[in-house]
Amino acid sequence: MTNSEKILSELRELSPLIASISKRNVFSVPNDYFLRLPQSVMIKVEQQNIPSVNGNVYSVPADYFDNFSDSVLVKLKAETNEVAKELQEIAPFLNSIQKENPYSVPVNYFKNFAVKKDDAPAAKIVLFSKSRKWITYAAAAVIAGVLITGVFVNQNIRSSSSDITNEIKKLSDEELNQYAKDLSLNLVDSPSLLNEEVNVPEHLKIVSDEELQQYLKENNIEEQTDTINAN
Amino acid sequence: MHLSDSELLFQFKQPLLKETAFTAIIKKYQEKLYWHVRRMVVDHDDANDVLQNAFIKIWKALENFREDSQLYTWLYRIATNESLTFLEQQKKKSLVSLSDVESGLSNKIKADENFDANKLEWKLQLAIQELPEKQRLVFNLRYYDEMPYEEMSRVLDTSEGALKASYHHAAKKIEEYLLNR
Repeated sequence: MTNSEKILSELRELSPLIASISKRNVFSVPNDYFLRLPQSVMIKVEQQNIPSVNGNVYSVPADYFDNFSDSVLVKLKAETNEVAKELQEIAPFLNSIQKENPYSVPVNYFKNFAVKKDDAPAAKIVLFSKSRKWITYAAAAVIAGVLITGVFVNQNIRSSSSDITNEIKKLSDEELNQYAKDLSLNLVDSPSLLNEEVNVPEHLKIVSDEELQQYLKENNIEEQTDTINAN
Repeated sequence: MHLSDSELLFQFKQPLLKETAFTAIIKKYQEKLYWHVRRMVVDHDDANDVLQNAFIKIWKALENFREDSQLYTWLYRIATNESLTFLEQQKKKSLVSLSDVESGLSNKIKADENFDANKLEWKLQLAIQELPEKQRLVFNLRYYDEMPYEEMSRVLDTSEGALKASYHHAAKKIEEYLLNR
């Protein structure tokens, strides 16, 4: 009994169902894969056998290069995996799309790439019109005039107020009293005074009759005399 | 003209013939090793990476191969270890349990452009991916590569008795899967 027959017999005892299934290979392989595999392997072998230049003074841990390609591959895949994981959380559908570049680039584009000089014509400069310039100047002049005038007037008011104060200081007491008398006559007709409730009899108690008579005489207020005397 | 393993090993140890001999070894065993790896990792690109890494290790270690086992057995051992290392790395990268890695392999099978859920051959592949790693290895080596238990014990560094038991359990699990799906 050959080895194959022995194994088939064993399987029939264990599971007739499995023994009945065809051993047809269901997986596919790219065309010419096995034709190219030896060369691919030898290229990798040569890459790992690069000779040292001028003698290598440095040492490398044992078996360092054995797993180097694996560790690089693992790290690369880990980075990709994290990105893929993140995208899978945010947008699973987007993550399922192949990262193929749909854009094409002209042949030798990057080879011939160079920064070109700026040959474009300078942009046209549009100036403001002359009439607009005059209007602008006129408006500025008006504003300046208003400001200067305001400052000047304000200065005059301040200086006049200070002048008035100085002038008042120069006046005598008699002149001031006269002024006050003249002012009080005017204030009699003032609506504010007429509206105020002034207790005249109380105020008049402290003024003697003679003083009152004199006052009235001086001010020619005879019409009011009877009213005061009555109170 | 195909040279024997001994002749190839002899040529490999000659500096001028080293690359030629190694290329010949690759051509002789590439398909067997490829399918052994492919059945473990499922995806072609992954299988290609694993296989190339395995051949690079073979290149480095072949000079010291003592020929106490057959070259074929020794090559299978390296390819198996590379496959298991790859699956372990997948598990660490994904931060998931190995069972999730296995379900990921099942998904890769279903994603195959030729996948047909109604075909028993495809269902068999799905059933095999449900097995624990070691059982999967044993079943594949026995069922597809028709490897004797004696040789398998050298590849997997496991006793023949344990391998027989493992194969029997694997076959029963696969049958149960096929009958219930």
